[in-house]
Amino acid sequence: MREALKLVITLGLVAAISGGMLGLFYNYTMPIVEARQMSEMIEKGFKGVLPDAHSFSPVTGGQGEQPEGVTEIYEGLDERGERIGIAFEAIGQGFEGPITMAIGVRPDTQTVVGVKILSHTETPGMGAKIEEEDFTLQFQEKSLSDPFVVGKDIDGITAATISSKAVAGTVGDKARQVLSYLGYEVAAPISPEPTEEATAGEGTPVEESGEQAGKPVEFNEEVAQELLPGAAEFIETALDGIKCFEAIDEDGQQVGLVLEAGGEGFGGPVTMAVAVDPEAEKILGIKILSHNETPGLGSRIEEEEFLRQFEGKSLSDSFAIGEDVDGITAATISSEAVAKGAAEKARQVIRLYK
Amino acid sequence: MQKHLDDVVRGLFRENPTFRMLIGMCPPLAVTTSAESGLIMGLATTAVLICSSTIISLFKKLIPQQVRIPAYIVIIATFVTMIDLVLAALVPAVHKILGIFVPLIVVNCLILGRAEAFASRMPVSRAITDGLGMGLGFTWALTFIGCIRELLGAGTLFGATVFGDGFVAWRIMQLPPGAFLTMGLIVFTLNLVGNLRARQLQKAARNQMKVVGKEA
Amino acid sequence: MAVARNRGEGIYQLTLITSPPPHIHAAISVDRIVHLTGASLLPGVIWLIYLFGWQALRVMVLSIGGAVLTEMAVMKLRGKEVTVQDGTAVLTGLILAFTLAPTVPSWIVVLGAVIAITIGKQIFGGTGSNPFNPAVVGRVFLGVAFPDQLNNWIPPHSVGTVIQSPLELWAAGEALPGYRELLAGSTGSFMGDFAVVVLLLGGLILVLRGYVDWRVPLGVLGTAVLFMAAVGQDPAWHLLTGGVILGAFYLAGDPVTTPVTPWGRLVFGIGVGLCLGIIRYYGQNPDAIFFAVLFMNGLVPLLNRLLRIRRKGAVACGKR
Repeated sequence: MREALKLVITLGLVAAISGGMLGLFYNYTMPIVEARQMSEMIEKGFKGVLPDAHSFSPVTGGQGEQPEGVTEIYEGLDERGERIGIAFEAIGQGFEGPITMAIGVRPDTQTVVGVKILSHTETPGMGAKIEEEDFTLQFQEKSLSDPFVVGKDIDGITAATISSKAVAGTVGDKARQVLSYLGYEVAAPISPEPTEEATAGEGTPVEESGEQAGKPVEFNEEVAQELLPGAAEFIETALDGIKCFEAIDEDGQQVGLVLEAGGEGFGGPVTMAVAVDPEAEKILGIKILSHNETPGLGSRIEEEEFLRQFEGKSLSDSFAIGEDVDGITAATISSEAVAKGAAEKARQVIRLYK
Repeated sequence: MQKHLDDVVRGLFRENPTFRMLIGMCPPLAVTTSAESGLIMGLATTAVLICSSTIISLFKKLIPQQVRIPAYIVIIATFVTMIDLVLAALVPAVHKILGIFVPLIVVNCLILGRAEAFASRMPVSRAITDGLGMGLGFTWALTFIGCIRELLGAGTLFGATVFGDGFVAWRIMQLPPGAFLTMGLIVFTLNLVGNLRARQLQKAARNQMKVVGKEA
Repeated sequence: MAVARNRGEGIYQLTLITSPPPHIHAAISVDRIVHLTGASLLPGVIWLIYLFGWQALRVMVLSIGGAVLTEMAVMKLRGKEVTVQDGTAVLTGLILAFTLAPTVPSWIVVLGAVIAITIGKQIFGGTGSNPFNPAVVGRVFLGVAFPDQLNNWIPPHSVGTVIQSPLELWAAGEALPGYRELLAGSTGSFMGDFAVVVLLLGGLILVLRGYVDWRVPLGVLGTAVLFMAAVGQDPAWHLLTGGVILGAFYLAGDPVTTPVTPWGRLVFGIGVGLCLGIIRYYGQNPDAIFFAVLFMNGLVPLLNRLLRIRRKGAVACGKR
């Protein structure tokens, strides 16, 4: 008994002394670390991505919840103390681990001012090249209405596509999310027509907080023309109550059918125009008309990268996400709404048409 | 005094923890992508080793046999955390390079090994010299591996360009296989040299014997 | 004797071993295997020189020369009798050349041959004692160390226009070359891929002569076919590119680095095929075959232990 007590007391003493020492050290070093981290963030990160700013101050509070993956939001102020831009720290998932970056945006012009990689663990010589200016300078003065897709409007790094995609996607998504969180109206990515002058001033509230569903497009001949640019004329018909355009080329030959389809997405109904070839029973193209999906996730059904995979797809395929259709990560329901909706309506119309 | 000096030299070469005893192998393989990080990791480990060896040697009589391992671990962990905090506060750049590997010094078996095998049986002064020798031996080993990997993997040494633009980096050296290859080749070379020397000594001894035999 | 060496304790008792591996082919000398294997590659050599001219010749000469000179130098240094005339180094060099593109810079070819012979072979005791296929060691080293220099593929008779290899196109989801392009070799890949037909014929001859155990290539190819079919890929297409034929017969089939028992060899082959499928399909890595062979080579001692021949009626010592 005494022996056991001795053991307990010894260990307890060792632990207590250790705890006390650590407490002392912690109290002494933490303020230094925190102060340094803050000034470092501003010096190394935010000044680089918002060079015109005279000073920075933290922004607190916005509409809804702070976007996930965004850790610090600062506003850049000019000499008179007026806000000229937003600088924030965001974390993206790279190939090896998280990538932390500082991103500067200007709400008035809706552009990214600069991007700087703060920390990462990507493979040296490959993914690690995301820190280089050759890569990050591409984001300078980039409009938020761009798609931010590697291989399209962003040049990726050879042999490091995942790392490049992580940065490009994070910059685009988080910049839009942060601006809408702070109450700015944000242009949706890849708008088909040039976006109207983004005149949103400071503090202009967005109608639906946080939401930024793509502008609904009406189903008309223009849309049909966009999907089937080769057709000379479109004849409006209705098959089983489904509005269709029959596409006819210059010789009067029928070249395709454009129909309106819909599906139940995550945030509400998704409507789209689907071009089909009734002879070959193939889909020729899809265009999203309206949706109310989560910005940055489900809203990506609008992206060409997703929609392009349906081009030339046979209607006898299963149209199942993960099987013959690549879904959008973390947005399976939205992806499914498009795939299933398009296939179902197209099959229905073709059956009637024949 | 002679013993103390011997403690230091022994750790540096004859019983070098990394190249001869092959203990505490995680840092030599994981943090040696550059000479600088190898050096810093080695020095941080040395500091922990000296501090923990001193304390353990001082209190060796007070810590009961049955709970010595948990007690040693707590002492080592305390010093590691302290050094981690100090590095973060004073030399953040260095702290950033080492990252997760500083807390992992706790589980470096070199430190617990020396505590158990040496510090807990020896007077404080010798525990310190042993810690110094082992630590510095560990440090030069890490720095050496780091030099080779940095030189071949990036063409630089301590960040300074050594080879010109025409140099093609051997990317494998900066990746985990590079650590194993470098480590293996160094140990191979050391053993080779050691064996050759032993053979020479044997030969010399045999000749000596012959001479002695003839004289007799 | 062969089994004893692989029980783990043998490694410290090398002096006790009387017969050097490859153990099971006691009746066939190393020379015979090497000569026939080399001869089976010759048509491929000629075909490649026809396709790529001096570029192909350069890579082969440098690779073989590097391997032979390294072997001689290392054996001298080790104080052993130089047995370079057995031709194993020549074969290693030639097979390594088959895994490289004709565009690879000369010094990288030589370095690969040096690594193959030193780290892949001599460090383990030379001919017959290497656990890993030396050519695969050299190729994997180069592939990881110099991806930029290694992956510059050119089609035959070209003047240096670099194109994407079939597997790179596949990984990027682009339009793929058909069987005809693959068989006729109008794509861009490493040299072995241009001689698939020749390698297949050569490999079959080796199998018929019993120098390569049929279980290994059967396991590799069969498993690869099943795997690719299971994940909805075209199995035939995947066999024709990325060195699968070369790997199944010449890399995985190497008798030195395969298990000693028939069952062991079958499991080994299946393992290579499975690793190939996983690394290629899920990892989208064009060099999957090399990693697959390297990985399974590492498991050979384990397979030897688990699947050793048990004599009927024999009673294990100390039991029952």
